[in-house]
Amino acid sequence: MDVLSLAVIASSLMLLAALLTYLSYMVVRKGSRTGNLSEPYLCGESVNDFKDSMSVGSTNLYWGSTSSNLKKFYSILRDEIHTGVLNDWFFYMGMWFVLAVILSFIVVSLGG
Amino acid sequence: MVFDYITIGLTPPLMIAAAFTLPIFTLFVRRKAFYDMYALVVTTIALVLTAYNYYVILYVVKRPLVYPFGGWPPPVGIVYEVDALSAYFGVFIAAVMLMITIYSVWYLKGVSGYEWYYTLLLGLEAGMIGCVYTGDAFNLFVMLEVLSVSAYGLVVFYRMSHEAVEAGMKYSLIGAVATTVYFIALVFIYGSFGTLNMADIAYKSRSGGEFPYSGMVVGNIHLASAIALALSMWAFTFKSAVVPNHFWLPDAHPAAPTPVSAALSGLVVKVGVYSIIRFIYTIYGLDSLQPIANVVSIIMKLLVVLGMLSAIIASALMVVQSDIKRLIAYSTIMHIGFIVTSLSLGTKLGIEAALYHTVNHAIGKALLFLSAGVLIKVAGSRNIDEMSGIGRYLPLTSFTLIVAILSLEGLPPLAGFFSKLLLYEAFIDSGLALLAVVLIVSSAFALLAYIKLLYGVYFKLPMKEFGNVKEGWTYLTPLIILAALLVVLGVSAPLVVREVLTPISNELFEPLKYVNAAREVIKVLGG
Amino acid sequence: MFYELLLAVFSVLIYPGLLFLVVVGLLTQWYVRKLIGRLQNRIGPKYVGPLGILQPFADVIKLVFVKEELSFRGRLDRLLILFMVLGLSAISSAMLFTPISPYVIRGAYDVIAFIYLMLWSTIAFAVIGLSLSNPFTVVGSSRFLTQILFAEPALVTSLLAAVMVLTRDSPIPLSIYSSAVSLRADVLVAMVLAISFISFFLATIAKTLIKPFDIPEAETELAGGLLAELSGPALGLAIILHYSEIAFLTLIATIVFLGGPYPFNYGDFLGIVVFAVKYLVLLTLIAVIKASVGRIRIEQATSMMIKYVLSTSVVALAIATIL
Repeated sequence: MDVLSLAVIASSLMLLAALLTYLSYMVVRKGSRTGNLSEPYLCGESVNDFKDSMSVGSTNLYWGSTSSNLKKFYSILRDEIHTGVLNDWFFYMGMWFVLAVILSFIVVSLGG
Repeated sequence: MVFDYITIGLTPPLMIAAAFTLPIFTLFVRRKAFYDMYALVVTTIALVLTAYNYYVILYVVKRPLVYPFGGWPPPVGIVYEVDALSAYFGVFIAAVMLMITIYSVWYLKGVSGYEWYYTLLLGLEAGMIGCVYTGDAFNLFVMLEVLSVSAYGLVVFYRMSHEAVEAGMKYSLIGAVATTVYFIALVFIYGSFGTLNMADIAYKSRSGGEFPYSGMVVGNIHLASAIALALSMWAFTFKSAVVPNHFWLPDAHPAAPTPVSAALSGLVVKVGVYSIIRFIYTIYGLDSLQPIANVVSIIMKLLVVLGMLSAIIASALMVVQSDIKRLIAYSTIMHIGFIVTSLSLGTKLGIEAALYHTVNHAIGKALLFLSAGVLIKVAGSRNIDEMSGIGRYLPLTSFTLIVAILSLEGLPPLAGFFSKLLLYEAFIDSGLALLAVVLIVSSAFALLAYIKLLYGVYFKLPMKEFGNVKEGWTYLTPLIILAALLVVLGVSAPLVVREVLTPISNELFEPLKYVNAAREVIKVLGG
Repeated sequence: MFYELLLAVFSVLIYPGLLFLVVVGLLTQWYVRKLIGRLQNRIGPKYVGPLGILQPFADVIKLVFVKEELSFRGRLDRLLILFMVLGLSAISSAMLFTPISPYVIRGAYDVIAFIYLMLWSTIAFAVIGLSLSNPFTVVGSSRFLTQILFAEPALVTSLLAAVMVLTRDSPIPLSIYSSAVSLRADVLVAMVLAISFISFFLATIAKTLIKPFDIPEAETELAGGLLAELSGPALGLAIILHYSEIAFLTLIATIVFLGGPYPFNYGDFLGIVVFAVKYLVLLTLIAVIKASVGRIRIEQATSMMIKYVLSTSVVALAIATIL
């Protein structure tokens, strides 16, 4: 059987298992829910209203990779290549253009 | 007679007429509902016509259909030639545009200038369908211009925004250069082949012989084809945003109104992909006369490299964006990188994977943009940090957002998984395992970026008061239809591959079918 | 037809799917805890069941049935549970691709489907930390994702390399099943398998947050990290998911890289014994590593990932393609 049908079968089995697990989880959990809405644990800090909710900004989410290990990679990629200046863009686009034309010229002259 | 199917030739002119008579109505009708209705009716008619064409070509006649305009034989006149590939592109373009138009009805509430928006939107759709249906290389240029001018106008729709004007200016400047470069390529083609008809050039580039009515070649087709291929590939890689011609996309797509971003990212870049396929498989091909075949082969190798570069660069940059629409725009570049790499492998599996991924990406990207657009409009900002938590007020919209993200990342059982599976098969089968590694690494970067998006708009607690927000069914309908389509396309993947993609790729690898369909018609016309 | 359907449902729910993975996962937890305890001169689990073997079960039962689940403002409850359940079901379904399953799913390129089913559990784990409105859990999740950025490609690439090199002459290429049942004894294959095994093993340790890569759940630094705010049945489910993932990845390592019950076959008694022995060897390795090294910082983890693990797997894949 081709792999696409196999993947469909595997996914439907996955969904079946998920459904059963979810239902049994909901049944088991019914007895243990408390009604009180407590506050998240912030080592004792108090959270007044959601204006103060201390939370990680989504732009700082991946500092472990983008700002420390891959800093050099990103500084080249983001700051030097993708500058936003139209002339730089034309420079890179022009390089591809010249490369394409020269290569096709060479291939045709060699082929004949 | 072979040109009994007038729907082939009817669709693009009808759309153009509808688009450009709309401004006349602005003289006496002021109600927005009229224009909404007008646009909805026109896009629905377009969907019906393209679906009918698709049905006829794939199931009734099983070969390309030709419609000569005015009965003039090419190269004096232009013909529209629709084969299975064109019909496939036509149908999904019309379908997604219909969803976008329904969404626009909600989006334009309170926005002034909706008449011009609908004019340009219908012009955009007309240009796209014209591009994929045409059988004449110069008409492709014309339709590409129609498409591009509408796109430029739509990108600067918010005239008062500095960002939109700058993005539109850059886009139009580079776009003008690109279409001029394509025009120069056409000059070379006409000067050497003596014709601009795609079937004619396809025949002459393969056998150098005589074609009915237009006769023999008139110049050195080898050198001219080489230059023409290089120039037109440059222009088409601009249109489909392949590195290094991609710089305009992250500026233009976010600045446009959201339904237009969905149309640009989901459909307009695919027209570039279609043009690439036409040029390197039908008009020229690996079975062309010798030096031209070498040029095609070099171009294909270059496109593989550029596609992979697109994937890596775009996915790495996706992670560090703070503007939600810019993040999604970089994701478009990444997926187009996958598609272009796959179709440049030269195998049937590669074409099938690329075509399937085209549709799945179009639907998933449109859904992503449209649901993000709802969140943006309600939150009033495009910055992920300022939008935090808005998704909690709009649960159904967030659900469709999650479905779109899961499909684009490629999780079973959604459609994106199956097309990624085909992509992996195509890459590994062609022996270049490095392509699979690039696919894996870019998917990992993309996963991080999508989760950042989801966290920012949904999981995070709201930072400011958004007031009383209710979900409306005007915009939920297209969102839910698109999400359902993703699931359906995914689950029916084996069926889709067998019934749709394999016939298309088979036909693409027999360009003589394309040639002969035109040849019969021309014999009748030209005497 | 109906019999096949029944067999498929049995396979995904009981053996080797959901129930089997959960039980093996909890037994794995016992084995690792006991071994680490003995290595650190402690007793480890002792009282519940012979040698304390039922301790993890008791823990989970306590969490699910006895402890109450505290809910707090801002927590996306149903989404959290849904993703965890989907993650668990995905790896149960992925077990059907292996030869130990009575209903086997096999076809060319099915390793890709297998890999993407594995991806569900990664996403489930990431969503746990992010959907609780506590900055500690969010940071824990973000560090988890940062590790995943390179651990997941390394895992996938090494698995692809191994499967590619094992099935290069088989009628069904790139299938987990074919790679498991084709017995190979030549040197080049063994070399590629060894290289990719190292990378797969290290990537597994990174992915399942075992020391030295457990910065996302740093107990003292992040107040529990990823799993901080979970309690009661939700925590029980998270623990089940975590250890099922460990069991799943170790089972795959045994089946694909160590050859399963080689030199015996699947199904004979001696084959099962050899398989269990190999599995326990891998677990011992994990326990020894866990007990002896300290935790490394996130930047160190990422750079280590790139330099050693990802590059190793790419090399393995390159060699596998040439062969």
